[in-house]
Amino acid sequence: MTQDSDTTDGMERRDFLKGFGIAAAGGLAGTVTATQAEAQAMSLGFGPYATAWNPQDAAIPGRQNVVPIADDYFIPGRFAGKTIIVTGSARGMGEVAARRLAKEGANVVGVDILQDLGASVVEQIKAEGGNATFVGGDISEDATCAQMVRVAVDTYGGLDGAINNAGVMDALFPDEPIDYPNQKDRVMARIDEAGDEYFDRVIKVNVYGTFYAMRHQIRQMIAQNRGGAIVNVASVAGIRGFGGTVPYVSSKHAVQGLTKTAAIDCAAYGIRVNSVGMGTTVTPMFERAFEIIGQRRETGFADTGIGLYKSMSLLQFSDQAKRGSTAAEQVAIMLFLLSQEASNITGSTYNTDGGFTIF
Amino acid sequence: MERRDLLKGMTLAAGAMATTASLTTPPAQAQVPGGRPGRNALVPMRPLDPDYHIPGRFAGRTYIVTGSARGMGAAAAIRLAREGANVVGVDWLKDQGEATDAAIRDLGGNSVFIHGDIADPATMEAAVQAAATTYGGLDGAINNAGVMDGVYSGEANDYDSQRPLVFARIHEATQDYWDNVFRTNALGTFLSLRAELGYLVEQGKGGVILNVGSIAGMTGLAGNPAYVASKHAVNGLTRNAAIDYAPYGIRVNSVNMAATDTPMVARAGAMVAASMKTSQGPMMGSIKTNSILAWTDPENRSATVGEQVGMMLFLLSDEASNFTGGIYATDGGWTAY
Repeated sequence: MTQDSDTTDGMERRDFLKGFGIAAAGGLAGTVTATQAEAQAMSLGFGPYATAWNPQDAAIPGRQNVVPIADDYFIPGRFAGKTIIVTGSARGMGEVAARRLAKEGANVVGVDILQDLGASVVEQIKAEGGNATFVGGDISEDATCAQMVRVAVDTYGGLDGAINNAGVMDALFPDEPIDYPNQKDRVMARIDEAGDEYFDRVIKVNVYGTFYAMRHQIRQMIAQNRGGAIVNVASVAGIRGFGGTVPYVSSKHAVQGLTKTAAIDCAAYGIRVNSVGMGTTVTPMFERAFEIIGQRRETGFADTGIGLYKSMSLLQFSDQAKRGSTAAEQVAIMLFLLSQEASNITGSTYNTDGGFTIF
Repeated sequence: MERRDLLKGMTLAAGAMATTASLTTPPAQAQVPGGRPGRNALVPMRPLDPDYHIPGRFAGRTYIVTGSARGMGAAAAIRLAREGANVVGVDWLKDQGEATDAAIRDLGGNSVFIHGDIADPATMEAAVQAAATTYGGLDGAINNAGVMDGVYSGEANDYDSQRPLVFARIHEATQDYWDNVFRTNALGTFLSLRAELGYLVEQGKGGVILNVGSIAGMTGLAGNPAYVASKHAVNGLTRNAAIDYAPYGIRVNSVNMAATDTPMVARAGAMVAASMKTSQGPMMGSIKTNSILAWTDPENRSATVGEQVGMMLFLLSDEASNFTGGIYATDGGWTAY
């Protein structure tokens, strides 16, 4: 992105802010009167919190579906001038996070093992006027994690935050076609049936990858002496047990441990470290896992079924279409935790799961 | 010096009964490498700008805020109004509650004030009624009112005369202390939820409720039996309500702070300091006295009210549409170690 187009972006953003009357979002203290005049525009798209079932449940009147935050909602200017790394930026939550961060003014360094897809997401962000750079690579290799930080520094002059989102549930390459009969040793299984490659790969990406990423991010943040914020993406599998997914549960519990220990060691450097733990979220990783389980069932595989005894959150169970979380709903809390609003929050492992872990 | 004493009081109140060792370390020395004990932040965590707000986020919506006279409740009520919400403030402190209400209206915001005790069922029924008649409905609530001891919060500090109602270890605590704390924190929160949820179900368009817990609702603290037990009750109510009201599109969460710069915590600090002059026997308050961030901060600073309100309002917002039943630690890392 050239200097000229940066300037143009700045102009456009200001015009946008003026148009919507929300330039105060960054902390310019407006009066309440001004706020209310601005409010109408800003509230566009915000209807009621919930809408009635349609058709209604004749037996149980009053049932409501929670309305998810709009996929394109963002808070203008919140991350202006900040540089943020997002791992796993090619798809799912990472892609949504990268796009929203760029819209909120951040310089984004996207990282993914899916080279073409990752590069195309970054190109789209740039085409829409955002600042983004792509690093292709595998976070389970230390060199990739060193590279992502180097790119942030070389391109944008430093690093302010990171969303360590890349993670896997199985040992398949993330866009490898699913063919369960020939992939048994590399996909989800119980301990007595789990293959070495399956266990190693999931632990390598989710645990080593998060460790390597944080190691380089934190080194840079300490050297800069201006603090920072990190959000690690865990899962409800980092809080509760789940059947038949041995290294995923183990590795996501490890992410929680990494989060807490990093929060302690980094506090004196002004670096906050937190995690989010979602339930079912509609992403390619989740959809692929479901396909694997479906194909497995077709092979005649049978178990006691206890692994699926509890599978839905409160909000999913209550929703007419049984929808899981959207990626945008997860990105909302990730960005809150990265923002200055979370200045007193560190070491927290937030359950962002529609209530899955409370019953 | 006064500031330091106040901070000490707040630190003490969170953990109750602490040593003062870390407070006597000069900040300059704290930056010497090699492991100075505390106050060693090279980059102190800068609190959120108190004026920060996201204009228009709550435009046209109506929220009840209990405990709106002071502290976190006043800050939440004012920020909600600045973000476009209609506010129904509730407090048993009449003058200060009216002052918050007037401050919002002076800024051009919409606010009404209900004077009363949340543990009196009529108070919260009146608050819900005020939302309905003044603003045409209710979208949610911040159930923030709470107490750490059994003395009416409008009274001046006087440990000697108030001692029977001040927190103490279980074998030294009076039933009146226990009853008063539970009356506000547990019964008051139940009655608040009952009035709010009843209306929200009837209204039929979902809603959001945010209960103010505490680290005392997630873990143990020394010398504070009724506070710890009643804040655990608040979190239990949060989880129960999240389950029962998910089908109605109503989300219920709690935030749980460590020492925060509020009048309640300042009073608790003063009571701890006074009680230490007469207390006998082993005290456990010094076993853990700071959050991670307070320990590293050069002044051992507490959370600001603004830092707490930031998360409260996020959870009230549409951005939190997938979150219910959450017991969110907003505690500078207190419960992470």
